[in-house]
Amino acid sequence: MSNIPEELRYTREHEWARREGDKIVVGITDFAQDQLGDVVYLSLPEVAASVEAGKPLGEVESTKSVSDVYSPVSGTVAEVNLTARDDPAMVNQDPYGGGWMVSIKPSEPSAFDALMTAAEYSEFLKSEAGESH
Amino acid sequence: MKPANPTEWELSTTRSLSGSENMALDSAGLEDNDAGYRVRIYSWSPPALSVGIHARIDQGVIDRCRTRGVEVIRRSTGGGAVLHDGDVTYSVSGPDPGLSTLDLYALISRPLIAGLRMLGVTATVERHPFTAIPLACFAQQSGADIGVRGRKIVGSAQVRRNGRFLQHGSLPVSDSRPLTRELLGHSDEDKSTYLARLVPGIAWDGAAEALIAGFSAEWGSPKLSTFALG
Repeated sequence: MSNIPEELRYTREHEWARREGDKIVVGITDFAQDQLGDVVYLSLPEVAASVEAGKPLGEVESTKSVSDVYSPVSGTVAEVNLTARDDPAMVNQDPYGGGWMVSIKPSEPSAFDALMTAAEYSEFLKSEAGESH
Repeated sequence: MKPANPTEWELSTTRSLSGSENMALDSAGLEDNDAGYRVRIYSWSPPALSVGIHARIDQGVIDRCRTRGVEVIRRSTGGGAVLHDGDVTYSVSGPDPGLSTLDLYALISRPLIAGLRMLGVTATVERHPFTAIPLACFAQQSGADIGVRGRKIVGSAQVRRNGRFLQHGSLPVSDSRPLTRELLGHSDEDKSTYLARLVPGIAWDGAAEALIAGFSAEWGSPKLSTFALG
């Protein structure tokens, strides 16, 4: 049973988002890190890069697989988690804390509210599990 | 629950293409949103060192490859460096079936293991997690590689992007470990094995036919096609 903190918002691509002041912090969910396996490399954007909702902002290389990380919102990258980039295992160990990936200054702050709630994400995971069996 | 096999798939075999041509074809499978499952069995000419998308290689490796006439190219998949010198390489691409990394490996491992079994080789999926990208890919076992009694025989790598996936891998026919060590510039012990050690006298054609037969046995008859570059 994966961990889905109540206070965060989520995407169908298994990213989470947290509002911090006027920024939105983004990472991948506990479900995602579990599915990927051991994360060995993070490819993250540069500060000041533009990101677009639904488009890749970086890549995660896990045990023998490379997957895109999608931006939940459009905006500009304000900060990049260099600690996690140097120690990608943090994404597995602490996906919602030390494993955060980027902080974005959104072009539309209200876009955060359109993301899935914890309850909606939990339902989404259940429906995905149902479809693959 | 066993991941379900594809019901329709296309097969092609390409021989003696260069590293950049081979990687272009594999990338095309990853990017063609209209394509179903595609399996390609292929060989390389000249020999090539394919390097994982995030792996670092130093100038010394590049210089030694140039001296030896070995092409160096980047893969779009992860992992380390693999020497392609007479190996049978496979690639599978298609719409992302929404499986976990390991389940997608399991889906593709079954036809590979079935193909090896037809040559009298009993192979299994090996799962030993590691936490860094080793440069000498075959010197380590990781994720869901295929091995024979603990020795890696098929090394694979995967990428998933925009609702599609690509997985490709290498089955060495002859022993490429000495040349790999020379090109990468290290002498780490490599516990991998190669097909001719297990099936004396096996050549590329026999190995390729066995892998194709393995895919057909597990996934049914393919539609035959030739993929075009460009």
